[in-house]
Amino acid sequence: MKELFDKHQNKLIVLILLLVPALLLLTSRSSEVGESPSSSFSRWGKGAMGWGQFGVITATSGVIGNISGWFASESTEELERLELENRLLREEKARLIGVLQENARLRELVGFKQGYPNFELVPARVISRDVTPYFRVIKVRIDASDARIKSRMPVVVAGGVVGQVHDVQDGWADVVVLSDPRSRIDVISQRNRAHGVVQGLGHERDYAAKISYLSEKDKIGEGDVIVTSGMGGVFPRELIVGRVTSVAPDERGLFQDVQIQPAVDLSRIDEVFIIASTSDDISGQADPAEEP
Amino acid sequence: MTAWALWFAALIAISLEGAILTMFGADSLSLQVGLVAITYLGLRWDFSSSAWVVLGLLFPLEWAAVGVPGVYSLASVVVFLILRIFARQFENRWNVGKVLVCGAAVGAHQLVSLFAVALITPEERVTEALWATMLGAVLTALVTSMLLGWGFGRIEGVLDPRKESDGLIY
Repeated sequence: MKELFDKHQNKLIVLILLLVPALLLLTSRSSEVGESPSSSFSRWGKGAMGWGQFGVITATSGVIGNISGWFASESTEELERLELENRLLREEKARLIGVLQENARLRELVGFKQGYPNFELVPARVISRDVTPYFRVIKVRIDASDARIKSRMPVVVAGGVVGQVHDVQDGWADVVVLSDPRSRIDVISQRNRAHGVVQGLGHERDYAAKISYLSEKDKIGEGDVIVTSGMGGVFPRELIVGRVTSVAPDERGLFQDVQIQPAVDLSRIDEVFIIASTSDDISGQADPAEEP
Repeated sequence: MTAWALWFAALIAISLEGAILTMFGADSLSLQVGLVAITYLGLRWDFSSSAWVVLGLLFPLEWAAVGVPGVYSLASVVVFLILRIFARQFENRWNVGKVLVCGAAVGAHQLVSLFAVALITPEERVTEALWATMLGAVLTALVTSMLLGWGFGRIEGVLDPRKESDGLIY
């Protein structure tokens, strides 16, 4: 038996290597957002990775503030004392700027929360992103232990829509950003209520998205504000998605080729809100995350 | 021992890539750390220990990629197996030739992913994104592999100095 194993060891290894992705491919239900929930093994693994990434984010935010302290020079005692004082003051200033920025962000988020009293908003902190250049997924840490987060729940900030929950682990969630090529959000133009579907382009250098199925008869112009339509049962109505940046006739002539820039600077988000439910859901309508 | 040290180092690097990029706001950049690790292992002379390390990295790579399930790991395995064909034609230590191969391997990974996505889920937007990001991914991998390949080599060298000194121990 051992001889047989030794003889065919390399073939066996190749087989096992190919078996892992094959199993993953066969057991995944769909490539759609939120349609392939993780197994308990994957949830455990993703959670462990999340803790590592969370540790880096927490640890380095303190270290970066102290980097300036490494470059001290010494000549006289007085100079050293003044440099120390100066360094402390600079560190204090850097910390204060950070606190003020965080304060401003939190004020904005609190303002947003007050503006939508019918939403049950669960705060989450962005700690990581995916490692591919073509997908756009962020990993968030959910502090509220009692929050019932599910796949496909909308994710927003004060400035507008961020994306939707793709996969949930204990205390963590993967959020597919609206510029991910798998993302689809039902939208309307705020100006004339023209209807379409925003799909991410997966561009490397920007977060541009495209509006598909926008009829050529609908008048859309650059700068038009695009908001969620509320159709599809995932996103509530009237959340800002982005602004139109270019309009061109489609090659096939039925629809228009419209590109938008997201309202939110998706490269600079630290905190987000997951809309766990709205008062409409509470009053008996279907939960978006439980739709087939 | 050295193989599992490599696995641990690669695992740490893959886990931290997303966190570091998020921290510095460089969201449009992807360092391709996982694929550099796969290339490094693919060009090592010892097949079985490298293959076990690759196997140990497949799930973390899937978790970090958050892509279409199975596609990233399938493309990684295919690239690893292709690299095995040429492994003996390179010196054992990390050098410019291997850096260039790493760039090509990242391009090949995206092509295999493209093929797999087209077969499994013909999503026009995903395939367009794969095409559009290919050149950037290759160029980034060239830079990342210079540092990371050297780093992996150093880890092996420290744990087993004979491998670094003559490069012929495998």
